[in-house]
Amino acid sequence: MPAVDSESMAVADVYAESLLAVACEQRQEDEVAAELADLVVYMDREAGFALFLTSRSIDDDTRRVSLEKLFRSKMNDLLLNLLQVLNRRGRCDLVRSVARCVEIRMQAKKRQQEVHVETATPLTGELRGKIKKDISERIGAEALLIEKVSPDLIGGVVIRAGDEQIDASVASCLRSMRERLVERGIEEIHSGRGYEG
Amino acid sequence: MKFKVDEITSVIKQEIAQYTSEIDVADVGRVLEVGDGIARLYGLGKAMAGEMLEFQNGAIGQVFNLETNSIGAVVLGDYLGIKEGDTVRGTGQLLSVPVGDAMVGRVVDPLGRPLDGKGVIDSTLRRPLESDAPGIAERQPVDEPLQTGIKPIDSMIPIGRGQRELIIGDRKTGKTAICVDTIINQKGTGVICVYVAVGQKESTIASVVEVLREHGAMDYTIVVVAGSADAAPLQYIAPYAGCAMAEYFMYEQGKSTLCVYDDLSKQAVAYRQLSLLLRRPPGREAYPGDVFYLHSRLLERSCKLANRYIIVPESAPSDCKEAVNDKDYFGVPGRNEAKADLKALGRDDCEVRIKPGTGGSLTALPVIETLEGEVSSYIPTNVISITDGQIYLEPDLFFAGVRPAINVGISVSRVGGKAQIKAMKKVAGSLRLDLAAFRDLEAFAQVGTELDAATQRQLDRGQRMVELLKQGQYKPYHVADQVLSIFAGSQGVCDDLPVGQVAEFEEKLLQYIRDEFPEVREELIKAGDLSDELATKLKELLTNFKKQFVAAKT
Repeated sequence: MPAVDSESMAVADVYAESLLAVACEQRQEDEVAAELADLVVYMDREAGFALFLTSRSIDDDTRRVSLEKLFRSKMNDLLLNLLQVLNRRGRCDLVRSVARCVEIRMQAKKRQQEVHVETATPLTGELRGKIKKDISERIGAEALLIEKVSPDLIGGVVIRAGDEQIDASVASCLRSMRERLVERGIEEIHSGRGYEG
Repeated sequence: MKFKVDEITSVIKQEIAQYTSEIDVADVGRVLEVGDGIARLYGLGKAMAGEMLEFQNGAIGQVFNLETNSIGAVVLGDYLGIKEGDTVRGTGQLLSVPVGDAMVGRVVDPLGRPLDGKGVIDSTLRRPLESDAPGIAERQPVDEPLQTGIKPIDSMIPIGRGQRELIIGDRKTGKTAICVDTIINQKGTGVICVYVAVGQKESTIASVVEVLREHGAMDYTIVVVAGSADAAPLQYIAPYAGCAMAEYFMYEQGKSTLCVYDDLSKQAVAYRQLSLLLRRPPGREAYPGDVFYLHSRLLERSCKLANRYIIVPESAPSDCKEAVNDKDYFGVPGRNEAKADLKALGRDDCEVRIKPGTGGSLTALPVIETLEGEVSSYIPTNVISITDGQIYLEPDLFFAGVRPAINVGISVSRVGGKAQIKAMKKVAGSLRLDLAAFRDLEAFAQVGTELDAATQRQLDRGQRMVELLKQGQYKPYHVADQVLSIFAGSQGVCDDLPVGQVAEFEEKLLQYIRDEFPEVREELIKAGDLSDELATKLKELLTNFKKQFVAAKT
């Protein structure tokens, strides 16, 4: 079961798991996942549609009929059924969360994992390939790199895969060195070795 | 004296030259929500219960709840600097505090950070906050007194080293005063004291520290502070931190230690706050179901560790740890075995000694505040059932001028006479019963009926004993002085003195003995017993002094 990061995601994951289970039986999981991702993109583009799905001022029956008219034979039946189930249970606001959970589950199924890579400067192609290869070996899955540039790191890289973070940044080294120097300095001062008189 | 800058610079240069960078690999999570000293985290899949966490702003936390989709953690520091989405690292370690000789004389927070402005504490030693209480085999019965210097306690409710004695009473009845006097009285005894202040006003704590400093008690005391302005997590862990600091001296140096928890009611309230915020189910009085365990696991760590015995030459120095037969003997059965082995060895030049660094103890004085004398409410009854006795302080006694306001009738020490020197046992033997009889008669006498001579005598004796047991604050009595004072009272020397003159009589009597007959006091201290010979000498001494005292008054 993929990790979820809030109570709504926990609820959404229940729907995602059920959707994929049914899709898997009908060998349509890739198609369903892709269409759901497209639906979310459409919601992001068309604010009115997103509002239509989530607004409480539209009663469930009206929404049900509208969804049926809009999407029957234009959308994967399973996906439309999911929307109708969410509507019936008053959970249409979870569509984006369900899509995210489906994405995470599909990645897990394909032995893929998102890996966040933070560097001080943009990655070169060669470096990207090397990081992807090394990380994929370490996590035992195909690494899907999500890159971020943070000049604060000064140099090096911070890689985060799941719950594990590998910090090989210059900023971190400098921080650690500073702490050690302060500790050592305090130790020397307290020991009195550096005193005269 | 000034430090050599060049010396420090060269050290730093050396550090930089030898520095090797290591890749930091850590288990991380993200903050989902934070507030009121608690945080809910996502991730940290390998986190374990009680694990120490580091937040992005440098605050320390501890894993409290391990739930399906998130972790509930308490923030032991500035939670206002933590925001949603911040990274949290797991340290893979349990929460620990710095311990050692460097802590003595310092005022610290529950994480061991100094609060007294005297600089960084130079200690590399650490102990986990929570540790298992020693098992049955590692303990031995309490048999050594811990003198509080307070007459009613040392005579009728004696405390032994390794005992847990609860101090319970309403607000402003003198609970902290008893604790402070006990700490002051440990001067010169080798006992290391830890005073844990939980949920108190910072001004009160400052005045306690000042009193300890004035009386030289800070030379052997550590003060752990989690004031009322500190977050609930710090108030929750403060007693455990104090206990860990005291345990270091008990286990590693074999010393006797005293830990005062002032007070555990506030720790229970802080724990209730944390538990409710983390949605643990509330029980009676909204406390979580494991509030008993909160106190029992703390107080069970107080104990008298079993001594280890060795056979050494009589001429060996006191810190000798090498046995002639390379054998350690454990506990009371071990001592008997050692004696038997010594006899079998046939070495007249050897003796059985306690191995240095063993047989330490941790005495606990937990304090509980009651509301309107209600000792049968939830938390007080919990702690009463855990401890080895309790000292009840009553506001009525306090306002009637009986200070310390101890109700000796209902106070009890389950260790009892085993924690008293022989001399005290002799003089205080029937004191509790006499005082109980006096209280019954006192109520009767208020009715106003005429009393027979015997009853009147008993009343007179009781009134004067009560006066003798009164004591000023920050004036602990040496046990020898207590014995002399109570002996004088029990011999009826004060029976015909006005009640108002008893305190003066006692003070002058003790001064008289110190000045004129110091050898009597020394003999009492050395022997620890009141022999018949000494008792006779004392009676004579008392008679002579009383004549002088009465003559001076007329």
